[in-house]
Amino acid sequence: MCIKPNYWPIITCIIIVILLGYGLTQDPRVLPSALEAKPAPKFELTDLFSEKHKISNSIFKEHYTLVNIWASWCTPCRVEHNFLTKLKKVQPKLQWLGINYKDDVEMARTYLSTLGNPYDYAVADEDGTFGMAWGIYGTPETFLIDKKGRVLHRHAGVINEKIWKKEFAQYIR
Amino acid sequence: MIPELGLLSLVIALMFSILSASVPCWPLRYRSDALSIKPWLYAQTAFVLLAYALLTALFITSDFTVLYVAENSSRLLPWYYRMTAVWGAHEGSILLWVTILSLWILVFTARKTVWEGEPKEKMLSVLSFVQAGFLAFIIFTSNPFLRYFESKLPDGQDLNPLLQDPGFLIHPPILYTGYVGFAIAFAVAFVALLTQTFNQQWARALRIWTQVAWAFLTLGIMLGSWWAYRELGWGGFWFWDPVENASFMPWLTGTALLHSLVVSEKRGQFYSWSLLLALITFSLSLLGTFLVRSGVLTSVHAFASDPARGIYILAFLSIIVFTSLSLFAAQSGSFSKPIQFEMVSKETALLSNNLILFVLMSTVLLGTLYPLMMQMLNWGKLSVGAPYFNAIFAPMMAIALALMTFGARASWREDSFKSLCAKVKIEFALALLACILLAVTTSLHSMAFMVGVGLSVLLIASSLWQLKLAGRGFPRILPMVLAHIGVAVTALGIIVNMSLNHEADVAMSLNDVIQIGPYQAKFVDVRNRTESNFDTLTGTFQILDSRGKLITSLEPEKRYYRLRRQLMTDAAIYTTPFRDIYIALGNELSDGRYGVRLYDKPFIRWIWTGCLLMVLGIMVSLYNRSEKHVY
Repeated sequence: MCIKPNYWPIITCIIIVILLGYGLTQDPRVLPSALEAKPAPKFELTDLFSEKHKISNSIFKEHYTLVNIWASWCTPCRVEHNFLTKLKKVQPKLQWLGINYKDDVEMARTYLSTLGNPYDYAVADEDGTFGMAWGIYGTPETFLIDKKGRVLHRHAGVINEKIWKKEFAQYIR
Repeated sequence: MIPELGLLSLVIALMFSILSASVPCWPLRYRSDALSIKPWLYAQTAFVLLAYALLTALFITSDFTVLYVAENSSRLLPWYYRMTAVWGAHEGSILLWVTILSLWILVFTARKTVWEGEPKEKMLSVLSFVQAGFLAFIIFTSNPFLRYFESKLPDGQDLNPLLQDPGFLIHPPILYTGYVGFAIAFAVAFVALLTQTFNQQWARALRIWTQVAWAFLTLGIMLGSWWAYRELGWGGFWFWDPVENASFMPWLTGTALLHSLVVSEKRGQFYSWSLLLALITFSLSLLGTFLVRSGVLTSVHAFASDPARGIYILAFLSIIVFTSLSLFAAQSGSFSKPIQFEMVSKETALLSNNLILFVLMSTVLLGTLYPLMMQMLNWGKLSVGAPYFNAIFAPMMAIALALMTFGARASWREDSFKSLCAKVKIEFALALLACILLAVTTSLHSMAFMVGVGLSVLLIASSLWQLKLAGRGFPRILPMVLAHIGVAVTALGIIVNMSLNHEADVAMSLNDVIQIGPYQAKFVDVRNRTESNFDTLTGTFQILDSRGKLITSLEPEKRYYRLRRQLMTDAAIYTTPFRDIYIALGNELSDGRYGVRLYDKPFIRWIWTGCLLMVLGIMVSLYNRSEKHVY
């Protein structure tokens, strides 16, 4: 196929415009997690309510686990908390791990005792090393871990009914 | 009342620009021969300027019932930032774009050119069409005069702290003047293709308009780089950020256009190239405007994303680009001429120059759009950064530097490789000497480094020698010499800086001394202070020479802007011709020490000095031409 060189600029531009048009339909802020479909990074953190007790990856065996990263200083987390409490009631098979991120332990404990504690396991990541290993860049973030300890999905931001149905529900049958 | 007047002004300006755009397109029997659209263009400019002035007035008086003012200003902001906060976010900056386009149109309308009469009316029609498109965009999607009466906040949200810096006062207007100025070249090329008219006289006139726009664009990019260096706290000068690339691409093709027009003016050749480059450069300007505001690419530079605005600009961009490039596809055939030069000649050098710059522009374009393409084809998310761009730019710049040396010395039409080599043999020896000296005095023996430095020195030496050879004819080639030396100086600055810069990231307590470059930095004081709209932690560092004598004191700050609750690093810099010492203050650590970043940046000022030389070259060229009357 022999196209006259005069036509190459316009053809290239048509291709670029199509590409940009596609780009407009995407949300540039959505960033998929690099961990998806990979085993969750190994961790060992202290229980929020009992300093001697340590919690690690071993809890992932035999259960689907919801790992929720939150903080008492995080206002959106407070908004999400209501939904999480409701979700806890309708999802009995799901195990919950709450990671208190870069927070003051006392304030975290007060937060949970006043607002309610949906977490089966609550731990504290005070310096953020857990966050770094899991690729967290803000709160709240939620991971769904399967029975073999692999990351199924990650959502960055507040979870509500719609997002749960769209992104998480499909994994739990 | 004033905001409403502002919006009304814009609407009136839009009406005039629609008139100016459409009337020249009507067949002659529907309009009077004597009807000139010039008064409408003057009116259009006046009303846009009025709207801009009114918005500025709203900022100065801190009228927070206007949403845009409330989001970007505060009563505590110093007056010079209040005046310039007008272009601090999307709505105001696009109004600035339109205002600058109005001013360009004003100058183009008023000036006597070679295109007077029919061609000029058509060109003004094209320019008015662009103007109308942007005015409609502002009125319908980005109105800066929107009111918001429900706010109960006592003050505005303050200008983004990253923008509260002198660089912000000058970089956007100057950059836009360059960016937008290529619209003139676009209009000329469009009409040239439409009426199948282009000759050496047109090329000469077009060259001057392009030179002015290019000079402003060069200056604007340089200011952006300088500002980022001072402002961002870690001394980088270029990040291959999508928005930076968006300004760099028109610069690359603009440079090619300038050179192509030289051949068009002097030899009557390369008409198709010149016209295509003129169309593409402005199209890239529009593409840049799109990328920054549509949310398609994330960038530290980008304005808030809004798909509705993105769709509008993309549609507008498509109309302009498709129309002009289709016209090119259909009509440029009439400009092709038989080749009148040999393999080794100045023409070939300039043709290669066009090709190289085109390839560089395509490289940047590909790198910028690649992440988007990957996503579209579902190949995952990827970011393209410095490693890709540097890998391609380095070898091509080396080729370009060599070409510049030989091309400038080559004869028109016919030359030979042997005679070219003979011409540059002294400079070549000099460059080789410089390389050897460098290899001996510094610890760097990388081939790439030496080749880069050697070629830059070769270009400088060759240009200077050419100046000497020109004797009394030197004013004529002085612009070229200055600009080429400017490129070499910038290249040299980049190469040396990237190879020899040094960073120290340490924890310091008071009275600690650390070696940085050939100096010693002593941490002597740290204190808190409160200013109008920010609180600051200021550290004092004494710079001592190798014998312990005090040279200067540097005071880096860590600022907390209260209204936006934003933390900012304000680095302190000690500048000398051959290096900068750059200090940024970090946080106080748990043991009472402070995190401090010290940088030794050799040759960094050369990068921007080179750009200034390029602009100086243009100024000399315009001065040379100022004796002639019409362009």
